[in-house]
Amino acid sequence: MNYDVTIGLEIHVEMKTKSKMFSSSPVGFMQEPNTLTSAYDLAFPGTMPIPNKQAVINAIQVAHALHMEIDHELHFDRKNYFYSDLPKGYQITQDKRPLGHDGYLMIGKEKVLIERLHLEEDTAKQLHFPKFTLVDYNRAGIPLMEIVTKPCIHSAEVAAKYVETIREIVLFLGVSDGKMEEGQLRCDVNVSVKRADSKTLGTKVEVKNINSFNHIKIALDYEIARQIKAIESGEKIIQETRRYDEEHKATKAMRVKTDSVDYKYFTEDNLIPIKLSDEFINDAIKTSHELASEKRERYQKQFGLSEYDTNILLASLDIASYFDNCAKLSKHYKAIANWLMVDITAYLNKAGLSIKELTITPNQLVELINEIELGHISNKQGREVFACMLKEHLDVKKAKEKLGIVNQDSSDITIRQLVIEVLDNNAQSISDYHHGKDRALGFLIGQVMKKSGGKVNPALTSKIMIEELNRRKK
Amino acid sequence: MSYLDLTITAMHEALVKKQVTPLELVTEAIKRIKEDKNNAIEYLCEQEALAFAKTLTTPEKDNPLWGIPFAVKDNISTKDIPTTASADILNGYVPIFDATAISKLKAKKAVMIAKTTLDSLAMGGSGTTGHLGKTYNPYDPSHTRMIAGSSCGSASVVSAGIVPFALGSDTGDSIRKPASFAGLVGFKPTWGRISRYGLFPFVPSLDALGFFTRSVEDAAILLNVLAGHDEADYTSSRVPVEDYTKELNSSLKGVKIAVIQEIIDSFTDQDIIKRFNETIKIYQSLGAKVDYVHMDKHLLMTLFPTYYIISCAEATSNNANLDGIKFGPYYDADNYLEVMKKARTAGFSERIKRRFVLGSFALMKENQNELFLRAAKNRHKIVDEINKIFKDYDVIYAPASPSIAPRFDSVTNQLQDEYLIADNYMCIGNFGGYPSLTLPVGFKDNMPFGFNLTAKPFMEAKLLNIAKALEDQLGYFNLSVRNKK
Amino acid sequence: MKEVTLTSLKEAANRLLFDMSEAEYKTLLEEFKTISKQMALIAEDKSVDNYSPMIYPFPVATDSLREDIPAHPESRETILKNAKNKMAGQIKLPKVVS
Repeated sequence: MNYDVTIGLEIHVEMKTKSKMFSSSPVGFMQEPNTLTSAYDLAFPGTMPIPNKQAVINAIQVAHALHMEIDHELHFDRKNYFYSDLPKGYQITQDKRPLGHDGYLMIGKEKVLIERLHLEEDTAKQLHFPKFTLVDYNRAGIPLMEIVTKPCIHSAEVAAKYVETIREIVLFLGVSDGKMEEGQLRCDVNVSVKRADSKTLGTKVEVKNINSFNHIKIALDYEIARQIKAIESGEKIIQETRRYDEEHKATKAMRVKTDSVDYKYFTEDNLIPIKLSDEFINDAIKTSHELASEKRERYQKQFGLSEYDTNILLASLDIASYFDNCAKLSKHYKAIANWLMVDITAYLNKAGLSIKELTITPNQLVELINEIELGHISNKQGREVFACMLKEHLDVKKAKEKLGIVNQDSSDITIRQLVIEVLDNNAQSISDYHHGKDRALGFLIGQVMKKSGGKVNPALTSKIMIEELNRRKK
Repeated sequence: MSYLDLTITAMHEALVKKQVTPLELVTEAIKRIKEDKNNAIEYLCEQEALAFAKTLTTPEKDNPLWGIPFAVKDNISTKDIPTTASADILNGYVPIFDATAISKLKAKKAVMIAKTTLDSLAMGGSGTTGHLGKTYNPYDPSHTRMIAGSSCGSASVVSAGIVPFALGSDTGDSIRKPASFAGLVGFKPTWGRISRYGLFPFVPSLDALGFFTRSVEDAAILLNVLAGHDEADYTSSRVPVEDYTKELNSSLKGVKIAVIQEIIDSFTDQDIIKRFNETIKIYQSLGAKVDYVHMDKHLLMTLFPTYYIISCAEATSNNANLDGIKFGPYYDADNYLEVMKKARTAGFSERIKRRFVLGSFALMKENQNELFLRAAKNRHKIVDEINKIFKDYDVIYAPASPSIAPRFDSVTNQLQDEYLIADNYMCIGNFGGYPSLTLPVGFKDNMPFGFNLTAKPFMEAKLLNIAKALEDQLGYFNLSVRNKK
Repeated sequence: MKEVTLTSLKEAANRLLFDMSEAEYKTLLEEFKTISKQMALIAEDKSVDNYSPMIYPFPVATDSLREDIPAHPESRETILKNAKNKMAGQIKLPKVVS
């Protein structure tokens, strides 16, 4: 028997603006509790919301990346409910007119339809202990955007890939760090399953508490299998909210959904409509950071990097940014990519550092690469210089001095003179070479190196040597 | 007569001439508060006011509010001074910030001496539902008549001669109605003209922060200080402010006054009607054109339910922050819902709970179209009709109350015209965000009464001009129980 | 329309997180009758539904948004000074079970 799976997702993204959505309190993560708040955040009577421009710009940028229609007027509503983490007894959100609507995102060949993107404010953070709960309002009021798909996804793979792509988008736009484990990206999934031949829609089950990218597919696969098994054994699927239980890799029933909660939405009249001009919206879009998908295309088409290299560079926004900064200074794209993927990654991993903590600047790295590419130093020497720069916090020049590395002589004329001198004095070796004795070549190059005191570029020397040998062939 | 019995303008002159000091004024005001028997004060800022008054030694000639004592309705946030909106759920709450209006008055070195009582959470019109129970009308020493509300305490202290002005708030007629019963000028500005930052919200789209004064000129002076855009109130207007005293004494030639026949028809007190007609003659004699215009009576009868539904609905949400957790009395329980429920059950009066339940019914998904949204649509219709009148007229004019201050035990039939229209029509001013002002025009049985003028948005200067002209003619200026005419 | 009964009123009150006495609910039920009659006055006028719900008293809009510049937060002591039940710089509640 075949089954139709229908999945819809609601993703909340916590923005990393400097101040909160409706108050000027600073935004910060992992700070001392209740040190990033103002009277508004704790809903003191008479405080009023003042909307944050950057949060609006961020939402426009994400909406644009999701190919959405963007409303030219912002309207806010109140969602009324009581909860211990909701200081005002309502949340300011956009119910009637979301900032963005009717967009899509391509996941491979599948088009995920996105219904809406709206702005709202986060709730306070609760710390649960066995006998009590502590409330920290640092998080209360941090700008959130909620992105809601249509129920149009039919596999756990696409759902998981969709969430990852949303994360990549908000990350590369600089809107959020998108860390699921830290709640910066939260995802609620609605799953329903029906027999392929059934005309009636399946019962919608909501799965919450998926707090890692790795768990999305596992949770959904489990839930889909659970529902299919239930249908096959003739059980009724209950409309309910389930949570993902990490330990058991299963979804567990949380609560039955009775008639949906009435949030008594109405317009927030402490705010007035905000007109967004074409200019404002276009500026927001124009100043967007480059998306991962755009970088991917650029790296491959313009820089000629392989898909493999591109994916490694784009796995981290910081690595990609570092690469971009280098790529602005030098066209040795492949060499830059190699350094980042091999030597730098190895060093960072070993030292337990992030690339932001790397003491070598893109400028310095490019300088080092240029030294090698110009033949001033060998690859091997390059690595020594790199290690020395890290260890002694030196620039390229100082590191070379410290290591006593002098530039290889790469002047064609100088090398050619030395080669000619050596050849003039080694007729036997020339003859040997021409009779197929390859060892003669090594000997001759060695003589040149010796004569120069090791200062010539071996590769170039070899090339010139072969040219000169060929010239002496009868 | 004490210098404290002067208007702001006259008191300012006496201060500049050093005939009196701020400290003397404040000391006298505090003495009068302590002697006052009208149940008007939530919190007396005795130490704070005296300490501040002592620092005021060099009069500021160009600052009309320098050293002037004033009182503030207790639903306006005052830093380090308890502010409870006369609701038990806010007992002990000490704000950590000043309302913008308070910051502005502090900057002008006016001296706040007291927080005044109100109908709990400003939800009520009788001046009887706050912490102190009934607030009395100073004109009635027998304490049988109300002063009305919700700004009852502020109306009471100004008419009792304690301070020359007091701040209030007006969501339906909460300044303008008590002003009528207290013989005062009661002023509500255009919506957004004065910042609401720090005013406890009741219905944000109807709320206005305003004031009571004892003269129209004083109202203009206060508006000059309080009007203007505020970065802390997103709804505050960016329409440029004017000098509101500039047109005070302009001629009324060419001014057009509309009287809505159907509103006047709902009044039954013949003394009030008679006085109203006399004032119309005065306006005509001053060169104003007064016309009776018509409005659908049926629509006028829906003013009150429209107001009631919208205000109750929004009030449930605007007071949802009151739960005893962040401020106010905390009640321990086994779970957080019980913690909140205990605080709210104990902290809200019965009347408020009834309004909240009604309001939540109006907002329910299955009811919203028929109740809340229909009321909002009706508001739209009412404002459209009023705006039609304003196409041809500068102000709409009518008595501000059906009678002099009613007795506490009087009973009204809430389905009668007199209640639905005469007693409640002034919420038009809030529906359309119009500037609106009540001024005293007469006495009956030794009790004052006032009439109301309402103008187009941002036409405060014109409104004050039209009011001042009548004040000049009637001589009902600087009234208080100590300055009886 | 949801039917107005003592039960539905109690339910509504409980959702607003407070309770009332039986007598108070009865008063409220009476009050509903009055307001229902008053609301019926609005419903009589069919033209009303042709109007859009009025939210602001007159047309208002702005294009000004707050720049994303953080202000100094309140000190923890100040922000929590009105809270009665506290622990370790946080507000303390009985265990919240989600």
